[in-house]
Amino acid sequence: MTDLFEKTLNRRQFLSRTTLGAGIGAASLSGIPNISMAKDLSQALTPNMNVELNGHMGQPHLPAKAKRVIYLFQSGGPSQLETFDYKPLLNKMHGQELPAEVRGEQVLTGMSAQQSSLPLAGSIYGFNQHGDSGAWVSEILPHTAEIVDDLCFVKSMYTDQINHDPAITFLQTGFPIAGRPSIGAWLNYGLGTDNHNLPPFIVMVSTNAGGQPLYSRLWGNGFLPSIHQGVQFRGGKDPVLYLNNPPGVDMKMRSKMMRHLKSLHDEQYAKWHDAEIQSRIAQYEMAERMQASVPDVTDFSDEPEWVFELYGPDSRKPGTYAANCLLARRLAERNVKFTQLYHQGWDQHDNLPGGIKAQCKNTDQASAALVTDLKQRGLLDDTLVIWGGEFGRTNYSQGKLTATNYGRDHHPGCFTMWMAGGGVKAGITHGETDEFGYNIVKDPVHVHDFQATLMHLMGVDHERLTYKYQGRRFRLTDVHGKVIKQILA
Amino acid sequence: MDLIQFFGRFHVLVLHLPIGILLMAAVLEAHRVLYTKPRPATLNTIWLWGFMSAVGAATLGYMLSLSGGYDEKAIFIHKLWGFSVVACSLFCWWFFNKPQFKSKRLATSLCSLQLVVLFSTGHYGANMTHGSTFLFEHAPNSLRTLIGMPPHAKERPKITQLSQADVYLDVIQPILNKRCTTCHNPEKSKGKLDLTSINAIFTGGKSGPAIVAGDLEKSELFKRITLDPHNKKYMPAGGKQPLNEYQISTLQWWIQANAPTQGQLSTFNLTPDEKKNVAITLGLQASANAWPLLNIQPIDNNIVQDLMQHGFVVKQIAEKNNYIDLDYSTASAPLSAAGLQSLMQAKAHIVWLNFAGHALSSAQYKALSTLPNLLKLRLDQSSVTDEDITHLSKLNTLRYLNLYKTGVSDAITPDILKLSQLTQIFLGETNLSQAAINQLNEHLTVIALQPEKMATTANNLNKNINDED
Repeated sequence: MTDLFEKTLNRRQFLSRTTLGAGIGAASLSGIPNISMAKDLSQALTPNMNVELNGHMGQPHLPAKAKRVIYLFQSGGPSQLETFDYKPLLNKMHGQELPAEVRGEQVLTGMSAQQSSLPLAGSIYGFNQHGDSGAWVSEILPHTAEIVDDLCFVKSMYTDQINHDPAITFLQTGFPIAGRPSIGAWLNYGLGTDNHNLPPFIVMVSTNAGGQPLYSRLWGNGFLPSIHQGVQFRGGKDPVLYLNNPPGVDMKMRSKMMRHLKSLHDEQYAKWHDAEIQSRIAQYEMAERMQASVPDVTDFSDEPEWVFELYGPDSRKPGTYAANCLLARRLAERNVKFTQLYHQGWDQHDNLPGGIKAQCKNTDQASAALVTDLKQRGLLDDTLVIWGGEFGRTNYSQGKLTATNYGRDHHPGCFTMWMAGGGVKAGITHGETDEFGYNIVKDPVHVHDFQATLMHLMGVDHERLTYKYQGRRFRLTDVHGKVIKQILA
Repeated sequence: MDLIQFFGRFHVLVLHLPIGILLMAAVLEAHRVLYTKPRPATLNTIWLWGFMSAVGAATLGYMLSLSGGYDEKAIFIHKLWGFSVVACSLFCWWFFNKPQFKSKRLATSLCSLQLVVLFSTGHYGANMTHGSTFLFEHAPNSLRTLIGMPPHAKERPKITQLSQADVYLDVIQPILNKRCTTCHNPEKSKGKLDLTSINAIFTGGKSGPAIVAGDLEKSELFKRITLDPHNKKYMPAGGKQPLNEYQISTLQWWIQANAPTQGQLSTFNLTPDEKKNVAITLGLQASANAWPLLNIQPIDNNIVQDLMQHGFVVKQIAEKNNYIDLDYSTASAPLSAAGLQSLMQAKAHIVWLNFAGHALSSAQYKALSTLPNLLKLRLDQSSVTDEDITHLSKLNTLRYLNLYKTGVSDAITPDILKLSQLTQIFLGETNLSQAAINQLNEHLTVIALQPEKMATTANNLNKNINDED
């Protein structure tokens, strides 16, 4: 059998056994000089450590303002009009038709395009100004209102995509069609890791939130080596399963087994030159280190009472958004580079008042607590916290507008995000929408602009972090995107 | 509005016509004569056009000369040559039109003469705009001595250390040379101002001295470069590249420091900001966006290896920035003596240092106080004590200090205030009293939230919501 393989290589075997097929990932993992321009420090490190620790860039393009990111993704498209984008005109014109000149050329989804009327709907919730910055925040976000002076609101976000999956894929990977690497994978590929014992890209999804589905490709590695994919923690009592050795196996024996497994893998690699074998070896090794590091980070018993009170009672229930926020802080303390949280259920096509209030109740306190907690610990200085969804919602009601109930359809034309810490100006609002909360009138920020800014804060020039695949150099921001200088501290 | 000046400035455009046309006429004529070919009729027209364009250029040139700003003697020479061009071309036109003149020698001499006067005029004119040294500025020394120019001045060695720079020769003069002296030199002293020598700078021009030592208000040069760019008096004039903020700040520092004409920078007292401005001006510091230190040689690879072996995560700050970020927070073992030793070897390179959650010995904390370039120090949840802070108060480059959840008390207040560059300190869950925190808060940003208070605020907000329901 072996002889047969040795003699006749079919196309697939040829590709996977030669450097042509092994590609850049294999080249760098096996210590062949990689594409990085890094000269100084990277040469000092042993080849494997080099790429794993310092990434393919070797060192940031510019001094990083943020060393880590916590991205609080609010999946479903939270309404900007009930949260941060205060539009009293909509209350005044409540029930009147959306003027044609305001709608302009905007395409509507099939869900509201057939409506005979598009009645404007004012927010049922009141707004107040808060903090020294005087930011307007809705009454259903009382905790976020407390921290507005630490936040940078971007009210002029817009996206190219009108439906959930393409829009969320676009935000996370820079392209609406699946298959590109997620932001966290790019950052890990470029910058490496700061903690050898934990994955640099960790994902947590709130349990039992319901709503639009999420797929692991949103935190996937795309065409990058699979070692860079996000590692999802389970929502529940045990975020990572099987950390304990089986009965009768001690750590020493386990270790011996791992060494032997590695030698088998090495043998395979020597034969097949498949980069993914190297990824597999690295993942096994990471898993072994995680046996010790994960229990330490996921065990909240060393947290004092006030911390749980700060994050809210839910923070004691594993898998909730609040518990995930607290865990995100613990990961930040341990230098995890990119922590991605998802909270579903913001897709209020109907029954918006009740729905969004419940969503806020589940997320408001913990989001604010996370920022406060990081600030207190001196971590907000180099941790970038991001809050936002994949698009905004319409200023008109989808479905019937009554005195106490309405819905809102998807609106890619404008939505609000906030950021905190990590080199972003605090207590400012960037961009502005018109009085109808429909079009952007000042400083529009495209999804690629947001991504370029995020990369810039992490010390990466988004135009220079590229990966050649299928004959083309790909980057997170595809073919455009500019850093929003006005929000940089 | 000055029509004479308006038209006069077209001289620099029109002057190229006679140069081209007369060159063509002279060469074609000489060629015809030497090879005894029949004379094409167009040659006459070319000479006539050459003559007319020369008249035009001369007239406009005369108008330009009326606006002043040029050396009288230089104008006179250029004018003389210019009129010779006009006269010569007129004569040539007339002469070659007469078939009775058959002398080959006379014809070729006339053509040569026309070229000589043409190029001489051009040369002396160009000297007026570019300066008389322009042509031979980069000539090899042998050629320079041949025409009686001094050999090249020895170039000043490139400055690598801010402290070695001579205040005038390395800092101020290069700025003026870059942005001012093309118009303000001995030959072309616009506004009668010459900025090429220190004496001439103090003498100044039409509007008074360019620099008055110690007096920004009276220093005409400084006034002009800081005017609104739309102002007629703004310098550099005519849309030439303006001075950047660092060059302006450097000049400002120099004037306020009584405009010293010599001495190394190390003998003057510069604030860190002033140092930064000078360093950026001298190209010693690349990033304008506030990387506060001058760049440094790359760290020895062996030291990096050594640090990693002792459990440090070592990261270079950025490409073209050789400082390092050193992180021990994820290491499981306490810092060993050998670990500290390797850290001390990287001393000058460390700008960010993280010992969060570790218990260092007093001697180790004391050793950290000798890091010369430390910007950010994380000692949160470490074993640091009041006494250790006394040692650490020597870190006069420190911007960020994290002492969250440590045992420090009010006693550190005077030591913290000694850290002149410190802008942020984190003192949550320490033993500091509110009074001490308030005192520090007057000088820098102190983050020290009360945990119980945070929790209570959160709880109250929740109560309000629940009440509404």
